[in-house]
Amino acid sequence: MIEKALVAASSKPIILSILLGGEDYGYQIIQKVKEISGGSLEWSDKMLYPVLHRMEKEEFLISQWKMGEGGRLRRYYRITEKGRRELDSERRQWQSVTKALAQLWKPLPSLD
Amino acid sequence: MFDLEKAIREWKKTLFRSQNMEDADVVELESHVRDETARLIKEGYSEEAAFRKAIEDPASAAALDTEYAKVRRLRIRQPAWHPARLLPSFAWSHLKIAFRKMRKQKTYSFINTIGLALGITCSFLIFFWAMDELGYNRFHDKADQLFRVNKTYKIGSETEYNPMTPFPLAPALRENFAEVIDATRFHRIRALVSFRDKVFYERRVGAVDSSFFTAFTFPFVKGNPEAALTEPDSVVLTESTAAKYFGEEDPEGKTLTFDHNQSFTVKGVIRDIPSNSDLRYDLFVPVLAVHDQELLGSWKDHYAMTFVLLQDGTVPAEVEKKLSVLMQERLPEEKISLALQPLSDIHLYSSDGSEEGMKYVRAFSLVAIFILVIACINYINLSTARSETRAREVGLRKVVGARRIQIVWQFFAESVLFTMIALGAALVLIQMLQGVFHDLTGKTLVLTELKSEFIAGLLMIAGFTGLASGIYPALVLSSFKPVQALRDGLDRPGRKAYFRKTLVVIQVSLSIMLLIGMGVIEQQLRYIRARDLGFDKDNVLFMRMADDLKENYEAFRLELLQNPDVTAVARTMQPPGEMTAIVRGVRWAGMEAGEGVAFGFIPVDYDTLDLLNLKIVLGRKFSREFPADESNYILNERAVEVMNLDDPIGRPFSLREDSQGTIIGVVKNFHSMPLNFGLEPVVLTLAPDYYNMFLVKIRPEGRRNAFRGLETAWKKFSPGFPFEYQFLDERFRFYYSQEILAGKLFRYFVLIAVVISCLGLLGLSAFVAEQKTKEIGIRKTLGASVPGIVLLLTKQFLLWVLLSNFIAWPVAYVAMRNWLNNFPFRISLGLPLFLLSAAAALAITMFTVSFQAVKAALANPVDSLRYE
Repeated sequence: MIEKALVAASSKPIILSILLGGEDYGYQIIQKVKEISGGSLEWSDKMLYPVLHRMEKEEFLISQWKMGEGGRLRRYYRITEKGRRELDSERRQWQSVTKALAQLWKPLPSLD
Repeated sequence: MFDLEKAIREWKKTLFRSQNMEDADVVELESHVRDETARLIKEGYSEEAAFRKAIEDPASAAALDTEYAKVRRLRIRQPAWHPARLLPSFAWSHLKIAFRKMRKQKTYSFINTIGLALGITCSFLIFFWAMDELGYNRFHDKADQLFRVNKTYKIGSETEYNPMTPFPLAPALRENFAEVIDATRFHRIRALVSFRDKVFYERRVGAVDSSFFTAFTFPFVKGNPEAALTEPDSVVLTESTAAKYFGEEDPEGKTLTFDHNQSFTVKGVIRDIPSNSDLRYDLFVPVLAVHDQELLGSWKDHYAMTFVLLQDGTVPAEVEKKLSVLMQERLPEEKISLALQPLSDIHLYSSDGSEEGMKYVRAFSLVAIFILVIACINYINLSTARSETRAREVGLRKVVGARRIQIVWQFFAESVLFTMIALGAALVLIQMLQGVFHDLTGKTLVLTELKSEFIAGLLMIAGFTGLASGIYPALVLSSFKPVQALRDGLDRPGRKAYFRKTLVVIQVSLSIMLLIGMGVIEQQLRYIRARDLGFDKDNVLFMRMADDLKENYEAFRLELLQNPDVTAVARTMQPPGEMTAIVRGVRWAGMEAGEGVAFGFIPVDYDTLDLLNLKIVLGRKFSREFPADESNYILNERAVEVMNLDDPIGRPFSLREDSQGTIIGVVKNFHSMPLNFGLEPVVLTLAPDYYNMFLVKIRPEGRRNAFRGLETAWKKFSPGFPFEYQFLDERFRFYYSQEILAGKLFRYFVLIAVVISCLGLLGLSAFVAEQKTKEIGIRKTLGASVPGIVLLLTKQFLLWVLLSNFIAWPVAYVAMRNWLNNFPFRISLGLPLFLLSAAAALAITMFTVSFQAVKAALANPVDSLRYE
């Protein structure tokens, strides 16, 4: 299980990264997250929606209503140019964090 | 049996109750729940269990709601980066909207723009004129240390002021006072100046001291300011005068001949003197060269102006006291005190410190402000009156999230746009009026050569206009409550309508004040020109005499009188009505001991009284039959009054110790001075030494023949001198030219102010008529008559005009009484003029307003009622 704060912090880069592959609607995004994390990243399912809306307000995403199969209305989200820049900056930040941790957690040199 | 659709409906109802979720959010969540339910069923859950799992427990539903609430409250900060813009964001959109409004409301926009353009044009022209007037004589480097010496003296019992001082004053000041760095005399003379075959009669020749050019700043093109006038035969001229005589040749060292008998060598050439100088002369010669020692040493003859250059930091009032003491020592028989007037004041203030030109600078500045205010009021009224057409727009803007400040900016953008267009139109107008402006005021206004302070002034006027006219509409229009504005689409009549009415009343009051002012000025000027001066100025012309003619005057006179169209010829010193000579130390038998008395002094000859038709009330005129008359005197009634004599005829009387004579006659009072002076005691005497000019009275029907005779005689007796004459009545017009010009300008500006007011009233009445279209339609169908409807539409305007009179009358009365106080002879302010102005204002208003009212009243009610 991953801590709540970390889940919340990682949700933005994860969503943006998923949407890099093309537009998608909320339910599908959740399924993809579950799939990729092997279930270790567990979100309270519907919590994704307010996050999406916040990101739309911040202009990282834009949404569009589309009629899906079976006549169901679905709101598709797409990454914006601003969202791409935001993702770049997130990526750099996460990389530097993981790099720092990786340095620290290197196996100790053997003392032959 | 579990019904999924029903369960979803129930669940959605709980969501709709939330304040934080919008319908779209619920739809999105519903879609999610359906997807999840379907997936879980596939995994083997029952329909009910799948649904319960998909919607989750109430706790997480509450948490979700909180998250939605956070998102809704979220305010995204303004993006950190803007595209570079000169104007605040939205400005372009505001301007675009403003343009659309202009196109849509053409009449209204036209009225506003024209009003503002006229306002800006007039204000700028007045501003330019006033600045130019105020800037006179300030270009001298030492302008703040230079003063003119003015004198206060008594003539009879009256105190008078003038800048004429005795010639020895300047040298005495230089010698006696440490505070005085320098003092220079200035005396205007005229001369016939010749160089080879070029001869010109020069009217603007200054006789000055050698230090004149070091005290004043007149840049030299050739020569040296310190040395230019040190030799008694030197002359300094302006560039254009030099070019007139010498063309391309080098003027330095050339010799000019004055009056065929005196030579001057050019020692310096100065740049042409700027138009904002009161000392604008063409040639300068040393005063020592043109006057004899006797005059230069006389403390009794006051012909010269004296300018002093004081040490920096000297208190003029202290020097004034010492000057007066000196003057009284040198001329003990009279109590004369001297005062110092700063050089920068001499253009606008007369020698007694009264506001000669300044009163016009003030009056016109006020007029400029009035005109601008009237134009701004037009804008304010028309835009707030039209506010209901904008109420919905404002309401909608607010609903979609506009903040008040944004709407304020929007309406400011509109007034700025109007002002800009008006400024453009004003520039065109100013360009077109350049010629007229020059003809009227003698000032040259070239837009492309404006100095930066004038450009700043122009922009300030435009800025003020934009601000003053924009601020109120912006505040009012932005204050609409969206709900009210959208529901009612109206601003409620109330405070705003009162404000508008007040503004209209102010506007009309200003117009009425200006109308009254115009009427008073006009009447006063007519009064001055029509006033009986006590002598006959019609068909009388005068010419100056050169020395040759003075010697042969008798022969000249007889030759002129041969001409049947010349009825009289006589000599005098100055044009009648402009007596500026004063005689001091007058004595008579029975005079009370005490200080000496000064009288006005008019040299006449045997024929002058007849020619001017001066009426003798006691005694007789001068006559060739009485040789003793050469030392006899005629006084005017005022002089007899001052002398307090019951029986003046035959009394001994003397002007100076050496000129004993008797009083032989008393002449009826006449205006020996322009009408801005009072009636003064005057002594008339036969004084050949002072004859400077001759007067000719001609028969009007024989004008042409008279001129022919005059010119022939002139050429014979005064060869080389130009044949120049002036009629007395023309001269009078010249003398009151400032007043006449002011009257004329005032008339134009009042006209413009009234036109602008009318434009505003026209717009407002059109609006009122438009607003009441339906009412009029209904009234007409119910049988109202056209006059009845016109009255309905115009009566509020009537009321406003009447109210305006209450404000305008007292203000105008006080202002015009003050103005009239500048004139010793003036009209009395009567009710008729005020009534006339009120009637004029009423007539103009009714004409303007009924134009729209009649149109509205005549409209077919079917048209106005068809839509509903």
